[in-house]
Amino acid sequence: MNRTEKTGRKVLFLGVLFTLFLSPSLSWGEVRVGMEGALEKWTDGERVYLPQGWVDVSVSHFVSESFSLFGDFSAKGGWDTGMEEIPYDVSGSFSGSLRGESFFVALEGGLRGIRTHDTPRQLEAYLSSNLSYIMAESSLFLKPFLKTVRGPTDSTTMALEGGMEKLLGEGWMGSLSFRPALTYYSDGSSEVSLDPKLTLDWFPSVPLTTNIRGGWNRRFLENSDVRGESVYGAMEMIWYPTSRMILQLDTTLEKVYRAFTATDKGLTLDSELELRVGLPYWKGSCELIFGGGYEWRVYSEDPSAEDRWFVRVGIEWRL
Amino acid sequence: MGALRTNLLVAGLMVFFLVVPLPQVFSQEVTPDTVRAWLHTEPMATPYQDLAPSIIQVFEAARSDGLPLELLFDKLKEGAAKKVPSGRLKPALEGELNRLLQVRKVLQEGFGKDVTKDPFFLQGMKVGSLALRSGFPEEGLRIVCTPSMGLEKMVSLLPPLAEMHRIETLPLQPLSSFVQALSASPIPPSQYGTFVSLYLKATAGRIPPQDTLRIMTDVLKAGGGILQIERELARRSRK
Repeated sequence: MNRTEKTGRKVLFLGVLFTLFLSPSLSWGEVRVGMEGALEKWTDGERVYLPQGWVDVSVSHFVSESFSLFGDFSAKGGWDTGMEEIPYDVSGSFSGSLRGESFFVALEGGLRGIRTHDTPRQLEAYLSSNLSYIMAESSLFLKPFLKTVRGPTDSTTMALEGGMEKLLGEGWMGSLSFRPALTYYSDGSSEVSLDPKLTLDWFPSVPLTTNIRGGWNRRFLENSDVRGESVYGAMEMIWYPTSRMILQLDTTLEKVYRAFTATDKGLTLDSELELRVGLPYWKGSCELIFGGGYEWRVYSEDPSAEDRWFVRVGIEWRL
Repeated sequence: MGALRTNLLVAGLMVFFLVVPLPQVFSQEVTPDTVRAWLHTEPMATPYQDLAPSIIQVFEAARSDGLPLELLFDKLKEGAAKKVPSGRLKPALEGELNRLLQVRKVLQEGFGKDVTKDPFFLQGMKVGSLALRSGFPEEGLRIVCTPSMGLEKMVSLLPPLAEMHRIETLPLQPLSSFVQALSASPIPPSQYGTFVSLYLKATAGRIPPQDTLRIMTDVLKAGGGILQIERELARRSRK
């Protein structure tokens, strides 16, 4: 058994233990069920239809004013006419948080099983933590992270993100962080990545919020060869234009290099839009979901760009 | 489309009253005679000449109930500017009159009979009426009108709460705890509007409203502020 498998088993064991330990003390929060039909165009040009259904369950328990427990479970599955198999995405996570006047500590563990046309059957388990030291208008944080993936390529990733968040005047918040990570693969190879990031959030007095983030990512192998390097900028916007309507837009633009000093490798644009419309006169809550996404890539070696897109229409009930 | 226009108007007025102190808006006392003169001289009021006596009756009724007429007069001008059909103008004014009576009752129960002498009384009446009109429950208004909150803070807090209630219905019990925690926190009233976008982000992140309010309350009670609330809500959101 190699080092990756050993660490992976430990993470899975801790995840199950964490789940069993926390589950009895949680109470039902919210259950959502939904279904949708999606039409996707893959990068190879194939168009597939993807009807799916899902169940999302949230549980919570506020043990005291300073200690709270949360759990989320989600199961999504359907039929993919392209791969002619059942795609699924099943996950569960638990978290506990403890807060005081000048500190915040959180621990979260989760499991996820997924199979889609571009992610063959794989199982993921993770443990993450958040340790924050809180001051009047700023905080310092440290986020250790451990994740193991069992699938076509087994891997274990360890990361430690550190940074600072600050309130920048009324409704503005910023954060600066640095996240080094180390990934071991089952073939014995390993990869190091460095990811500094700058984030700016705007929370005005109107029902609108935006998040703008940008960063740089560098991945290199054990022998210090650079595997890839990129700079990216992303923007997320959530808007409530009128009653029972929430519009979400998430766009990322990434410029990928082999290395900054070498030739550029490609450019990626990834954008997703979702509109949720609540149905009036419905006992409880029922929303119609309209969504779409577009991803476009161009490589320097191959001038022809490739793209993929999807559109989806669905409905979700909150029970 | 009508409902959309009403929602946008209410939201717009709420934002307006968040940033413009009402004493600047109402500088002159309004009497039924002021209204009568306006109806006879204002070109916008021409379509409502036949209604003038019954409109004046509404203002007389408001005066006999001891209500300040400025807010009702504002409503009349708003209706005329929007060219509301004459058949709908009087019911709209009567509706506003009833809401103002309802709000004054809640304000007096919450802050005492002398609240009518408070410099923020008119502003409190206006935001209270707008909140009720947008669907905010009277019970919610009672929760916000407490001596520990005070009228000045209530005027700043009610429009964001009404906006949050429009996004996703606020459960009353957790709302009460949140209002108490906020009234004791050092967060200045000028930052209360931020709770609207924080609540929107939490709703979009699938956090149940009772959990959102509970997290906000617990963070405030622990001495935290907007930054900590945002980070804890972001952590709780479904990715």
